[in-house]
Amino acid sequence: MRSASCLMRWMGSAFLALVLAASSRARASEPTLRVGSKRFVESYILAEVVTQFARGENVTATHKQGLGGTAVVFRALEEGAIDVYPEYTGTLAETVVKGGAADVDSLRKALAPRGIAVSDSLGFDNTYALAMSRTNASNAGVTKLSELASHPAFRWALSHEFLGRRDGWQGLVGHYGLRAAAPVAMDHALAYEAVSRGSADILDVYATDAKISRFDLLVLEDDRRFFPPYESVLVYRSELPRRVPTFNRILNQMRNAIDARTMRQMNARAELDGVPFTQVAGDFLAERSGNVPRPKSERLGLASGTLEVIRNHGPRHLMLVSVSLALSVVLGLPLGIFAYTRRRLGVVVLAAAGVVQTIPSLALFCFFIPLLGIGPVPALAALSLYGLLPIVTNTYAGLVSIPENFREAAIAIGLSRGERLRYVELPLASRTILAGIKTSAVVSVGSATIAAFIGAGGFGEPISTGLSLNDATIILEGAIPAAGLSFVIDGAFRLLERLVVPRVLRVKPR
Amino acid sequence: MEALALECVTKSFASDVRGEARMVVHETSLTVAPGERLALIGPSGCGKSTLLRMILGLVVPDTGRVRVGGVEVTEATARLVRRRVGYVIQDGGLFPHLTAEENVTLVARLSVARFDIRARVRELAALARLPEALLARFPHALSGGERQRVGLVRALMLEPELLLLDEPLGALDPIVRARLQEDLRDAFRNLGKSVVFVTHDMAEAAYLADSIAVMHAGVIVQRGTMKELREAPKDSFVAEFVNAQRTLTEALR
Repeated sequence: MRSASCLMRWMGSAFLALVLAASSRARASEPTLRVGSKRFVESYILAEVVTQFARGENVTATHKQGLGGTAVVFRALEEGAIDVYPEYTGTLAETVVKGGAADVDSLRKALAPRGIAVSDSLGFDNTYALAMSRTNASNAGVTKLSELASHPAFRWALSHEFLGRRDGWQGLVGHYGLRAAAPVAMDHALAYEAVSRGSADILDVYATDAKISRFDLLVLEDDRRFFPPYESVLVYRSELPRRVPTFNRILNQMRNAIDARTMRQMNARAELDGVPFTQVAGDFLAERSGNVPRPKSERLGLASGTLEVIRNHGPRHLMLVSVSLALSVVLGLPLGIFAYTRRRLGVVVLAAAGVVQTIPSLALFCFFIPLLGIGPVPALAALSLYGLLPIVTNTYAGLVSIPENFREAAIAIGLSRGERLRYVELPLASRTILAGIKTSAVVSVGSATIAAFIGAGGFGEPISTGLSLNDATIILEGAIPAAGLSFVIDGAFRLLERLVVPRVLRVKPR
Repeated sequence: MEALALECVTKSFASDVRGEARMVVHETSLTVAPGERLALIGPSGCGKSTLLRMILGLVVPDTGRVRVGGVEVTEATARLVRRRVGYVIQDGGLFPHLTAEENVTLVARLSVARFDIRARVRELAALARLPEALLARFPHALSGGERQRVGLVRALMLEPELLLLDEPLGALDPIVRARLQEDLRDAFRNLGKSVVFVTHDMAEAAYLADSIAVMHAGVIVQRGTMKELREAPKDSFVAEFVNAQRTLTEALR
């Protein structure tokens, strides 16, 4: 019993040390420039261009990859978790300013009070557009949207989203007089196939879609200005140019630096040829300055990449797992005991814990965003709630399965309720309870990888990056340490069992 | 004042599937004088264990009162009473995760002990004829008889006024049983405490107790010495129960 409490104390301080180490590490390596990106290829590439550019100017810069969608990344910017990230004017107008005008000047005015500045255009407009195969277009002599009205026989293959949006098909019909057309709704990837095989003529695209160059499509000119502009810009914290004066140079250099064709080609290299986006960005900068690509942008092998991931994301992942596990234990153990002592109310507790478990983990993470924002705090809340069930049920099951004669003996010799729990029932149930905590820990290692989707970091970060880049190697760089951590935790609990569970309870009961 | 008094206690349980109440103890009264050793005897299911559990407040009677050393057993006093009563359960009732010594000293360590726990363990181990080396063992490494001796030491740790034993020798082989009966009798004599024990062995009852209470179908039918029960059984059940024990000489005839 004494060794158990000693061990708890030891674990407590070890845990504390770990958290401190993780946080001090984060503070020590605080970079001067923190670039964020959204979760798609183009955003990764642009952010990487900014990051590598800054490094070339001898500014310490880190790229926080794929933090999430617009809402998440913009919030990270407002809260100062990042300094800058690539964005589109149309997106800012629609989801951040909500309904304001989409030109750069209006956005600057709208965002200035929030401490956010908007750069000039990076040189391309990633708006919605319509495209058709180059041969088909030249045969029909079409280059502009206004010419489509006179070709009612064209077959349209449009994405569901485009068809549904008011600034998509619904508005387009009236603006360009396309009433004769009868579009077919189709998955976007399939629409490319259809157009390239000639079974459809026109599809909706983003202006810098990688597949536009790959399938040799012609983007039709929006000559009557229907589509709202999605100028690519950098949004950054207003104080950044003061804090990092070099950032002005970066802004100057990035102004109109990338045209739509260049962007499309970069997207195609990363998305379709599987070239790491760091290299794509590096090559772009090298070409601009006439330098050979720096070795820095070279891709690491899987082994060293994995080590790098462990070094960069391991402490955070470990923090997520251990803090949430500690919270689960602190909450779950009393709940399990409560369920055991108050059987009737206990049923409700067990059912509630069960219901939480049926919520998909990503949904649970997102549930906490409006309450706690993004980052590690909502992730910890979701993870600890998620890890509750195995601990509650095992505590309950372990206590309930104690043979009646031991329970009665404990009462008969005059132990109080608390003494019975502490000296008889919990030790007798310790093996089952510890198994529950172990299950919770292992589940938590897995669930914590999903926490990256709400910007909490950890091994999920390379996994989500790899997913959005369709790059198996990057996924593995995150998945391997996550799996490894599960094994380590399993082993650690075997060791812990030897220390905490009374020796005689470890041998199989006869 | 009696060491123990049960006054007209009744207890019924909802037992069968229809939830019909089954009377287990019916308007039973019983007193035990200080230093008296009483055997509670009767066939299985006659209510003797329920009666014993009532004394500890493990079973609350529907009607009637239980007093231990003048203190009425209620929800509020039950814990106090339990610490003043030593209880030996069948097979010792030892906790498997504690060594024999930890089992024995658990309650003493939790209460403000005004005595030297170690010395007391040694003294009681001698009384219960329990080799001290066995104290370091876990219950699963002890024989049935050894566990019972540990159980006895545990029950005596806090100097109880009353000792309750629920079929203490029920599961033991004859040799161990005979030796333990002898040691229990010596211990009872040395201690001079009030003792109530449950058994269904007539010879054991006669050997260990001053008086015997025969229970049948929830009531104490007759109480007296072995001699009295033999010579003047109150009804045919007592006569039959008392004579159901075959003697060795009878068997050899």
